[in-house]
Amino acid sequence: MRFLYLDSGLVNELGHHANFCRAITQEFRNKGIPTIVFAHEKVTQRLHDNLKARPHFRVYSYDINDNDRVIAWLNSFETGSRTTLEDLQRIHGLEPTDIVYMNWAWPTPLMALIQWANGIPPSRLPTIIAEVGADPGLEPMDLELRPIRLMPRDPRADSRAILYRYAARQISPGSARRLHLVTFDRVTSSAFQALLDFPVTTLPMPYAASTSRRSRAGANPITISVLGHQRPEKGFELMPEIATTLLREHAQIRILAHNAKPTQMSAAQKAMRQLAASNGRLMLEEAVAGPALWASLLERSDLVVCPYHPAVYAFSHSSVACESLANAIPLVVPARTALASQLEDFGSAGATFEAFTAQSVTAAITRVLNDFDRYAEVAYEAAAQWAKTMGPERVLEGLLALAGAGPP
Amino acid sequence: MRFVYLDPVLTDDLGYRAITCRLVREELRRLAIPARFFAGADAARELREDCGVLPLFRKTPPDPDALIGWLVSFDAAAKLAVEDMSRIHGLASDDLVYLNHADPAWLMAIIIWAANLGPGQLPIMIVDIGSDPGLERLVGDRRLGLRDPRKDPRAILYRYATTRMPSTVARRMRLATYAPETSKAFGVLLGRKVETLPMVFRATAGRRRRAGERPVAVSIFSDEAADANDPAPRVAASLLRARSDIRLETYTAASAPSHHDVLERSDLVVLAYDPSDHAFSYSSMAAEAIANAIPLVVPEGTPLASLLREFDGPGSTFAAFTADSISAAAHSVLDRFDSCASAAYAASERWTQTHGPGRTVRALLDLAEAMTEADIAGR
Repeated sequence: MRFLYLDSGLVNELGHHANFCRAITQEFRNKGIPTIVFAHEKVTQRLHDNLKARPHFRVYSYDINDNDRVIAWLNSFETGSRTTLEDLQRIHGLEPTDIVYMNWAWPTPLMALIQWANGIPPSRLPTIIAEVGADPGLEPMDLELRPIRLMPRDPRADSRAILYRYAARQISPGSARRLHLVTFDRVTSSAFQALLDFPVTTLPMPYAASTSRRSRAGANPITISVLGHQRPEKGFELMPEIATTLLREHAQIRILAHNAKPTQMSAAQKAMRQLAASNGRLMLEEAVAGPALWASLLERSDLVVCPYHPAVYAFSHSSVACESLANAIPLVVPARTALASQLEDFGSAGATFEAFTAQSVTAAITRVLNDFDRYAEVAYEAAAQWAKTMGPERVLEGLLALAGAGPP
Repeated sequence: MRFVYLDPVLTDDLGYRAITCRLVREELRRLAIPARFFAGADAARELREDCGVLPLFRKTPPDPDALIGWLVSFDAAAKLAVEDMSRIHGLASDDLVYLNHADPAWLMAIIIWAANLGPGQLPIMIVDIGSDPGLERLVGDRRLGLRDPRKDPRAILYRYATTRMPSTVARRMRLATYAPETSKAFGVLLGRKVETLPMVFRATAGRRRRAGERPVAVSIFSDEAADANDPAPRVAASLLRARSDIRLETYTAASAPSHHDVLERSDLVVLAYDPSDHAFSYSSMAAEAIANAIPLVVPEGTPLASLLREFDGPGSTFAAFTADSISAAAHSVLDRFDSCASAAYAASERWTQTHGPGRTVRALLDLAEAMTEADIAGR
């Protein structure tokens, strides 16, 4: 048995791709299972060396490789999946005992993977596991309404729901027996399952604690952090106002604002720089975080804020939130989202906010600050629970179970 | 040169598809141009016997998937149509293939079918791409916007189909509609020239002077897509309440018994259509009303209103898709009915100067000739 790890979004340290690959493939290699990593063709030399990631896929997961002003998304899906299918067909010598795992299989690579599987005689098919990502492109019709009714986003803005479903409709009966769709979050899985009419399994999160996993109780000053690749839906434009209010009203805090791609949200970043210039308690980090910087950011954080849009994250999990839980850091997340459900699963080690406004997020942060030591203790217990149920070893067990293989 | 007429949806003798087929056939006969007519596989016997229509095109049931049914159906319908078109044999490069009122799947099909033919086998093709590109006018803006594809994916699919057209096919194929604004909107969407053909409709037995007719027979048409908010019933109630000098019937385009019967018994046609839905759509019923000297009420800011203006306004327009706005327009016509009816009669006399089957077929033949010459010159 060999483990083939495929990720056309694996290029550099931006986002979660390298972290996922590192966590999962190291675990397989540690267990002595031959592991081959196929990354995007422009994967950095560093990742090539560190992860033994082969440059392979020509189409980058996030690119719309078409400039049609009306149907770029559809053209890109069609041409991208065709190219990725060709790339998959260049992988030879597979055995039915192998496990082919595709990470972050957005619609285009998923379509290619399904077509590729459909072209292999069922008796020759390896176990194929596609992790379909964190966002099915669905939103709740009404955030307040229970049970939740899902609706696809307007494809002019986000075509994922349509394309995911279109891809899943192509699964042949022969492939269906060997193909497993997975996510790393139960809320995300249930939304994908409703969308695709195909079983979607939830695997444990691959993240493990990367810091000392200390209790933050008694921290003084308390460092409040926003971390990661900041994008509009992650609420970074709310941060200048949130930071201004918090710094004015709470003398015992500091703020750590990390932005892995400052050019993407230049106006908000500029406002943060201006604020930082006049207030030494606001610290900025403007760099893509490799493992060392990332671990240091988490180590320095006492409270992680995910000021994300509640509708966008209704069914999407967050790596930042996961790593905070794994590292015993209290959290602030949007209410009625996958993040909020996960927070509840881990003892409510933090608070939620209702509205996508600076005021609502600030109020939730203040609630945590006002009872910080208690939240910190809950987060500490959550991290212990995390270590038992999540992490690379649990993922490996989950993947082997799907393949019908026993523990190595 | 032979004329090959394709209408995959033509199955019965009702509605504008049958009228168009009959009118084109009559004109081609008059010109002694050999022609073949291919329709839906379940074409009615009277169409087959009276019009010589050959049943060919199978129907694909719409895919029930609420989210992606439109995309799956498009694929399936285009694939089946290509198979069906491949059963048309004996075409020559100087033949003219005309596809009537093609939806995106049919457009896709004829493009794939043509792309599979050898260059020497390609006939001249003219595709009427229908009356609605699936675009809307952006609020407070002169630009065009895509409709939400979850409700109307036509714009996406029309564009998808045309962007798959190889240059060998493009040299032998023209896209056309029957209204300048519709052609212009399609042109913007597809990024290519879209021709405008004269309307095929002509006066029927319904053409007469209506001035002095009492009671005035009012026919109100609801939009086919009308929902519970359809203002037509309230317009009908308002007119019946306020006036004793009218008779009134309501229809949808699908429920009308036959165009001929409706035109025969109508003195005023009210097209209670949503102006925003029809911003770039023409209406066969509006064209037939003008050809038959029937005053009209139509939505403002649409090709229907432009047609009304082109024929000196024998009727009125309404700006808002509300019962009040539509009723007010209808009342304004009824208040000056005799002068409107006279203007409508004058309009019907002018209709044949620019429209009608003779003009349509001539335009198709001229276009085919120009394409052949351009193709030869371009080689």
